[in-house]
Amino acid sequence: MSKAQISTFDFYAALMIATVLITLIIVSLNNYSVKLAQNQDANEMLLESLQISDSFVKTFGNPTSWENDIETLNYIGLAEYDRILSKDKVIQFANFSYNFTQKYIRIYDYYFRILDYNGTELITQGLIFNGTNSVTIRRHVIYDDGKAIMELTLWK
Amino acid sequence: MMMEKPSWNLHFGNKALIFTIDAVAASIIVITILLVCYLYLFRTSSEIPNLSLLRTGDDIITVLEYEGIIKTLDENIILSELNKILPVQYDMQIKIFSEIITAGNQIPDDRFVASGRRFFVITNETASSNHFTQFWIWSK
Repeated sequence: MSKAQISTFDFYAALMIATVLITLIIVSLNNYSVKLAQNQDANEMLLESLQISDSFVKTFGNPTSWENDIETLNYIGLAEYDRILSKDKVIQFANFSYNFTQKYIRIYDYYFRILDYNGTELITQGLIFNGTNSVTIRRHVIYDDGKAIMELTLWK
Repeated sequence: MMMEKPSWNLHFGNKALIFTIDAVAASIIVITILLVCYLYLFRTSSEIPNLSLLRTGDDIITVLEYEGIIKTLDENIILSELNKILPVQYDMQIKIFSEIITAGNQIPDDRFVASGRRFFVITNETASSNHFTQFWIWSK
């Protein structure tokens, strides 16, 4: 084989290897950034749902008797005492329109339920999941003098 | 006298082998860097789901206390009620001090375990006593 042929072969071999490696790098970095963004998104939704559920089960809301005058409502809390939900507050919350409540949930759509331990729905509010991503938080509470589960789903 | 360069007696000489080694080394370096990036970016699961685990444990202890179950200081009653409300994917151990009552399973050492405390007072006709409950909760 002549030197010219060897050099040409050498050039094409190097070009092929370089092309494969560059393609691998581009595809990998693209996948990494997509996956990182998805993880970030999921974590953000989970953190938001934890904070909202904490606000619901541990705080009275502001003002503390907002259920008597919703015009003064600053933020929603459903507790009568730590982890004991006020029936008046919960019923008032359940009667809110979705658009009204979403001002306080912000960013995401939501679905809120209170269930007893048999799985029977006692209270529902919001829109059932109809998106691409969702996160569900379940909190154990006392509601209407009995053990119950408060379930909050954030979705988009 | 000219020194003879060492030769590997290859058909096309030394240069082809050196080129091949160079290409293989470069490929290994690139693939290693990509793997390290992958492992670094996605090596650990997020800590945020562990917050949910901790809240579940805290909620359960709070509910048991409100229902008066913890104040019975009876291991069997506490374990029975705990099993009714503990989600199936979790396991839990509860210890009540100062009596050192223990209810629940052995704490594992090969996974994340969330822990917390809750203080309570038992009051009877003659006196009141301070206690606290420590819980550990983990995924099965």
